[in-house]
Amino acid sequence: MRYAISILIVMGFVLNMQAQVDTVRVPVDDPQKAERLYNEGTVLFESGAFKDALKKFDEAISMKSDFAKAYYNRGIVKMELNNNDGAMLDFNKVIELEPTANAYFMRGQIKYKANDLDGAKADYTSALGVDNMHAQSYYYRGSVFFDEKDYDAAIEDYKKAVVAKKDYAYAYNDMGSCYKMKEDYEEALRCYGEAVKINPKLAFAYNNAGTVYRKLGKYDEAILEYSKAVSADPEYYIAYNNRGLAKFEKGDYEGAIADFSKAIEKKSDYAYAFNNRGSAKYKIDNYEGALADFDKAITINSSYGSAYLNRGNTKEMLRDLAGACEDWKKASELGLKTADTYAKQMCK
Amino acid sequence: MLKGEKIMKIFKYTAVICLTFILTSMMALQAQNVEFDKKNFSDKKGLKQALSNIKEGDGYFERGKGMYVDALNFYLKANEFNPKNALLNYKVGMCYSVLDKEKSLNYLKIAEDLNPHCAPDLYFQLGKAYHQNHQFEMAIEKYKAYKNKLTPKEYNSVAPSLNKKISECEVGIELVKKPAKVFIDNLGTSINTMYPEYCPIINADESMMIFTSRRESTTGGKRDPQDGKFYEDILIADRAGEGWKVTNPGKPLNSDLHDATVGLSPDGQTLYVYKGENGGDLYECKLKGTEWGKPDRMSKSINTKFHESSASLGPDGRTLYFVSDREDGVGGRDIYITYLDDKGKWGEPINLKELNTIYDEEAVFIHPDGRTLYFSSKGHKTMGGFDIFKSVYENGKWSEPENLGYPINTADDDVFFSISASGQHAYMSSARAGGVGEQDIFLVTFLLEKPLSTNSEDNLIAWRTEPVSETVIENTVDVMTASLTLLKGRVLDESTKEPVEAQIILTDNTTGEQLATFTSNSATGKYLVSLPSGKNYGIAVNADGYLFHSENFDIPNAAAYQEIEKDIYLKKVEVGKEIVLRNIFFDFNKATLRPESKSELERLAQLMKDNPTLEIEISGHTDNIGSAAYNKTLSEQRAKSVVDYLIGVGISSGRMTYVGYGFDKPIASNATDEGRQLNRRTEFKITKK
Repeated sequence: MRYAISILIVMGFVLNMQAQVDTVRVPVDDPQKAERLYNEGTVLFESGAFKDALKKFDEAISMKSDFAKAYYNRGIVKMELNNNDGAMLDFNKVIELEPTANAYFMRGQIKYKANDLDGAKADYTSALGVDNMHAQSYYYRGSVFFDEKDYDAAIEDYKKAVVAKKDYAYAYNDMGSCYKMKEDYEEALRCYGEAVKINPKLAFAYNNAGTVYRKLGKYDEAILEYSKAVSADPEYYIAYNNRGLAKFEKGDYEGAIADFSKAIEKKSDYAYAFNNRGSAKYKIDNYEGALADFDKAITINSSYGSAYLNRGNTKEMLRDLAGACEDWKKASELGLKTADTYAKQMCK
Repeated sequence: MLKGEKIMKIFKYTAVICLTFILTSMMALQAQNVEFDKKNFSDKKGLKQALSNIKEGDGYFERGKGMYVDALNFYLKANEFNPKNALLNYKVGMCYSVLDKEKSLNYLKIAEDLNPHCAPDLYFQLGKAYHQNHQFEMAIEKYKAYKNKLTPKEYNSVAPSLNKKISECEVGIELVKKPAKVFIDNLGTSINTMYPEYCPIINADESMMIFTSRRESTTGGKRDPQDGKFYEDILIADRAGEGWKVTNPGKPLNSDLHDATVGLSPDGQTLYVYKGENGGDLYECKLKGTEWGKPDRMSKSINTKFHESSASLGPDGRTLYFVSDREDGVGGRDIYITYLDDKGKWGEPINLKELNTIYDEEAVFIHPDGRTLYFSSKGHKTMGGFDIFKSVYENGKWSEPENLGYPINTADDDVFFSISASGQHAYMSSARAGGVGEQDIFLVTFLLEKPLSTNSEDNLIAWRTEPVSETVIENTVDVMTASLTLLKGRVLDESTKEPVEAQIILTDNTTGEQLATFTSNSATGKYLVSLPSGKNYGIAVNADGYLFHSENFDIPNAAAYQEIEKDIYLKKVEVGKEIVLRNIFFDFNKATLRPESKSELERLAQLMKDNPTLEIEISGHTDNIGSAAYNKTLSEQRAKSVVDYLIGVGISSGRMTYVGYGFDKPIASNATDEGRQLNRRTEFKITKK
């Protein structure tokens, strides 16, 4: 599920690209019915009529069983229709008939989606064996390495991706994230900088840079980056929340509260922002206000350990030790060791 | 005259007129000082009465602070007649300084407004009043204004105290900015009354508190003619559920005059009392069963012709901290330490120079961990008057005294402070708001600084819409946590379950050093022993006619505060009785006695010597790890090692047998580590008396 929506978005992009370039010219008097059906299917796909397109590709393949392009496009349609197993068979067939980098890449995407990381990596590698400038295969293989926490290997792939596609802003962003994970914050900031140089509207790259500055304790720089993120995308609630945290860590609790409120305004069920706003209110001794925010965070996400821990701390300040103990115990059950310590120290 | 010059002249006149008008208006706006003068009042009779009241009031006022309350009544009457006299407002403000800080400041401010020159020290007194009301910036301003008014000669004479006050205000600004996280609760009417209660001293487990009160029920029922209040009595409060049960122990602890408590041993069995005789001396008083004995003056090494006040006994029962203003000190009242020698005498006191200042130190309290000292001081970084500080003895020296912070400390005198063994609670007396009347006893609950947990999110991977979240828990900060174990319970007769007055000997098994000796209470059998972390403790409980009982507590340095409740059942010296020797240790998988066993072995040898007809069987026991044959052999060899030791110190071999039971006689489950540890043991059994 984690990758599902995003993969589909990217696939949609790939599919459109393939559908536009792969129509075959059919002479008017030419009796090549399979090719004609293929072209009709491609047009139907472009118009979003996936099921009708599927029928056309089925017919084309039934007439010409070694029609590789028809298998490829049918695979793409099946993916659109959430039939990944069927799509996989079609891509297998394409690879059997005439292996292309795109076919390997698309099969790799299906495997990645199914969390078959080794299978996906192997297909991206095969795609690169066919076309060593296939930028997307480098990019997604890098992503698999990132998931496997092999950040050095991921960086190598992202570097190749930006060689193959110089304006590959996403690859720069993700490369920055690898450096961030390696705690090489200087390189991380350089990569995020490259990403926004290519695409100044890339809100999340500013956001990521902001978080690196926070890690460095440079809160003013962090606030500046988060501000750029929200000006690139005023609906980007994550950056409001993070800017609030930079202010919180800086000790500007009022400013933090304003930012968390802004994040909540953009996303009314944003449990993190409620929890963080509660924490800022706690800091300025507004315990009643903090309690209301933690309550809300827990209502949104009933297994939100941090909110239970913080609510326990708040209840203690409100002289409700029994309530505090209940919350610390719950937070402890949810895996927060700190809460377990409090429960043992304070609750009989 | 040229046209231009004429215009200039007109302009100048206009400016002068305007300025005069503005100044006149300003003067009209400023309050006018009204002297008690005939020309100002038509009510001549009222004026005469007011002047008479001022004269009466002055009679008291000039006698000093102790009489301010009496002076105030007259001044207030006069002030009612003429509230616009600067000097009278100054005097009312001064009188209120001992009663109501806020009112004091208000009257002094009126005086300043009416005539800032009404009294030469008005700015100084205003500085003090702002200081007392925690308006530190204003206080500094007024202190500096006072400073500026002084001649160089005058300044030289007051510079040290004036500059100290300014630095106290600077400390106050910092402390109030970052208040200590505490709850301060009045202990309620089970302790506090409309009369003064103060100087609370708590025992280690907070089961008992001793305090001083000047309530109506004082022994003898008389009032001190000096201040008209009832004489002080020492009262004892025992915890009763959520509240307290207060009793007056009466005579001989309390007399018809002032009796004030200044210290209590951690086990609650010894009390220290201050009496005003001989310049102020310390007395010691023991609890025997349910009765407190007569206070005995402490030794001459402690009491001198100077003022000795406040005493606190360390958890070892052999280290005493006390306060004295004897001549060899650093300045004023100082903290001293003295140790009890092997003959039971207090040694030559040592001045704790690292902690003492040229100002007064008072109300010393050693925590049951034996290394954290709380005391009050007018020196160090105080925010005004006495503040409470703590210092920890580490690596052979005392740490720099740390102010416990606001709101525990205020600009006023904060003196008596006593803290529980757990470090979670302290008890203090204060006249702060929320009281039942006059000084009350308050409970301070320290809130461990609890970090909050926040969450951030980032889109680390561009193609994913789902962000990666990160949870950040704030760094923990150093908190006040006690590093000791409180062992408490009762010593009882095994068969009758009656309380036994037993001697509890605490030994450091590693060095063999006898650390402390305590006695369980004869009436209740209760005992309480404080075991600071970082030692392997051997505990032997002895009573006449009983076999000794031994316990072992190996408490690592990092061990957090814990309370262990354990009732100890002593067995009579009878055939068939078995005793576990908890402080006999062997090398791993060997029968070699470890040096830590020495104290226990000596106790056992002594028992055999004291009871020459006694015959015993020494048995070895193991847990169930390993084969039965191996365990049997090992346990037998270990039992033999004990017997060999006893033979070596002269006990006849004919009086002893040894046997190895392996894991045949477990006393606990072998399924847990704790159970297995209990099963690995050496026992002796009386086979003949």
